[in-house]
Amino acid sequence: MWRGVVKSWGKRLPSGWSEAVWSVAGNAQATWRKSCLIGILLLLTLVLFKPHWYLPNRVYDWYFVVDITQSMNVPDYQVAGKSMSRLQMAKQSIRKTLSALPCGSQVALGMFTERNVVNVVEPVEVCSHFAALDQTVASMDWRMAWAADSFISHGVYHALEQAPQLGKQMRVMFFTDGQQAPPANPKYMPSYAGKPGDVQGYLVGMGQRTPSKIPKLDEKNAVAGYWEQEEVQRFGNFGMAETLSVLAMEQGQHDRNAGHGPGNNLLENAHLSALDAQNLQRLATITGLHYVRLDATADSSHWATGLGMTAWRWADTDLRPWLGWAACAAWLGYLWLTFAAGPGLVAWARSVKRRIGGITRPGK
Amino acid sequence: MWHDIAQQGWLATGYGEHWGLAHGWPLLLLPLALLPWRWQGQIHFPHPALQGLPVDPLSVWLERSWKATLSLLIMALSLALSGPYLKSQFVEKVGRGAHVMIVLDRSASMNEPFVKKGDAQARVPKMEVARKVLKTLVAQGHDDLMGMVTFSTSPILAAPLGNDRVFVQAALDATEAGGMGFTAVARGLGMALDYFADQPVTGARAMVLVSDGGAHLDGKTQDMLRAMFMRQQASLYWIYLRSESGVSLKQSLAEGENIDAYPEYALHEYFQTLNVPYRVYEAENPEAVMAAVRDIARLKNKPTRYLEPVSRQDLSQYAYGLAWLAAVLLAVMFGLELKRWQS
Repeated sequence: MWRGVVKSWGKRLPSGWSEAVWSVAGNAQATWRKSCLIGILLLLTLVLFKPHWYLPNRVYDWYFVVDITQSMNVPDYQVAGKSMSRLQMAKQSIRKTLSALPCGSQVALGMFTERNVVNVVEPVEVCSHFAALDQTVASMDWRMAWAADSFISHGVYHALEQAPQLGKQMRVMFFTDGQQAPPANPKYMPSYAGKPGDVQGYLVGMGQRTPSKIPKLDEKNAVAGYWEQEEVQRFGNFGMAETLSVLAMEQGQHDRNAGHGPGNNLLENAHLSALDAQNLQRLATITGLHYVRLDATADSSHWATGLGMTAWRWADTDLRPWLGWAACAAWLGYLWLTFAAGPGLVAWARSVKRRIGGITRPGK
Repeated sequence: MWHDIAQQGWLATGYGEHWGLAHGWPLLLLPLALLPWRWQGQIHFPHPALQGLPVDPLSVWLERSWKATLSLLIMALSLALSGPYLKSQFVEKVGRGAHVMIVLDRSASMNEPFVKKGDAQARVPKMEVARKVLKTLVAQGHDDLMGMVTFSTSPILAAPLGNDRVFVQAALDATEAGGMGFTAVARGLGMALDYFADQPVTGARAMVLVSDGGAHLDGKTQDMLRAMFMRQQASLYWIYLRSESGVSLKQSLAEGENIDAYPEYALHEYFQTLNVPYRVYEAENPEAVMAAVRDIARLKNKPTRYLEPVSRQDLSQYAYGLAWLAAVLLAVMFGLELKRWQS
């Protein structure tokens, strides 16, 4: 019974094609059409077994460094109506990036306070160690800080020094608000030892441009107060006196015994914290990093997987997309060979041609 | 307004929050699904009288379903190629063996060697010895869950409690940078104990403290730490890296000596009052520590279930499966096709 039905299916589609064309082209075409279909089926059956192989793959190596100084506790982000601290925001954005990195990428973690960056974990593969990486980032906390100073230039340079030791193609993503505390004497600032662009990466600016008060948190992370101007002034230490001339001293100047604070205009706002874009921009120019600002909607995963950050490496590669693309090509072939002989396709091609011709040659 | 509504709808789908696409551009293949419907005609049979035959409804439907299958195949493929995935998923794992938290001292004194004299081989820094020992510990006991806290002035969680050994090794390697600051034993232990706080007690919990000296704990801290140990029922293993000038914990202090002058001795005394199993291993030389490693490897636990986050759950396999089904259907229909006209 089926045979009869199917026969009539074929019957319904008549043709004005000449007998000669069909008999010459027909056989080869039918064979190709059949092999296309078999190809699709074979390729997709292979895909079901999730084939994978070691191939050169596009991966990204990142060294994420988080500033855990107290100014990062300033809650000046607004996400879905809730305020979020800069530190939370940085952590969240690292965790998002972790899940966006392709397998085979290497990730190392570090934390910055005072003058140096502590490398918490050496580079590990991101997919197989995702759980541990994710939890380690989540546990990063200001209470892990071993000192309260925040010398941002020292920190950035230190991170850039560490990066080549962690991996040849290691990029650095440094999350910070750029706050320098206490105010530093420019004479004692370090200079960058490397060439700009030696290490690629991003300097991610956190926080708003308008200054806010820095909360003092207790051991249980509850706000116990805010840093006051007077408290901050105590920490201003600016180094040696600049005048060491006897003559000047004889004339009544006693620099050696005077306090060498940074001066009132620098300390005036030292208890407030805002994104110090200028400082970060300057550091970015010196080191060749890219300065970007992380606002509430920005997505650091786009930066992390952006152009110029790629590292090609042999890695376990999923072969399914390759087979999938081949199947797509076979599908097109099958479709083409099915309709190629038909007058419909020829007519369609003609009408398209006519339309294009009409557009390009309006004069004729 | 329409823009707002569209944005709301987009947000409601949870794109970016709960799921995402690895690449968007393979979706450009989707319009190809229209091709089978736009193109006309089938295989032709050079027979003059076909036009005269009546239309067969079943054939019409067969043709339609054939076209639908073609469309489905390419749609499923383009979806699969764009790589859809679910975000922040959890997988359930079963852990046997003990839960071991390593608490490693990385204070400045750890950079000093065991003995000051002798050749370079004898003067290995204590940090290096500790790292070597811990690496052996981590390499053994494959069922144990392990984590690590390092501390100097403040504790840092270097590796969360889990069965990811390679990660603990990587964290151990990172301690190579060298120590700094002071020895805050209490805070390090406190943080590691905190790690057990959210989990039910299912068996052996061990804290492995690796440090080279004592630190003075005030009465309040002592009580707090004691309470924490009791609550978490964790046993304590102290691998004491004794330097040449350091005091041995095995001998009791001579009569009349002030215990406060020997902080490690005071710490040892205090640990004995914790009411939890406590053992101390003195490591004058690198080999002595293997005993500790063996003891810890002997700890056992009931099997426990726990959830572990995975980076993303790939959904493309389902789309590939759908494409495969469509391909099978196509093959079946190919078999039904009329290849040659017989009249």
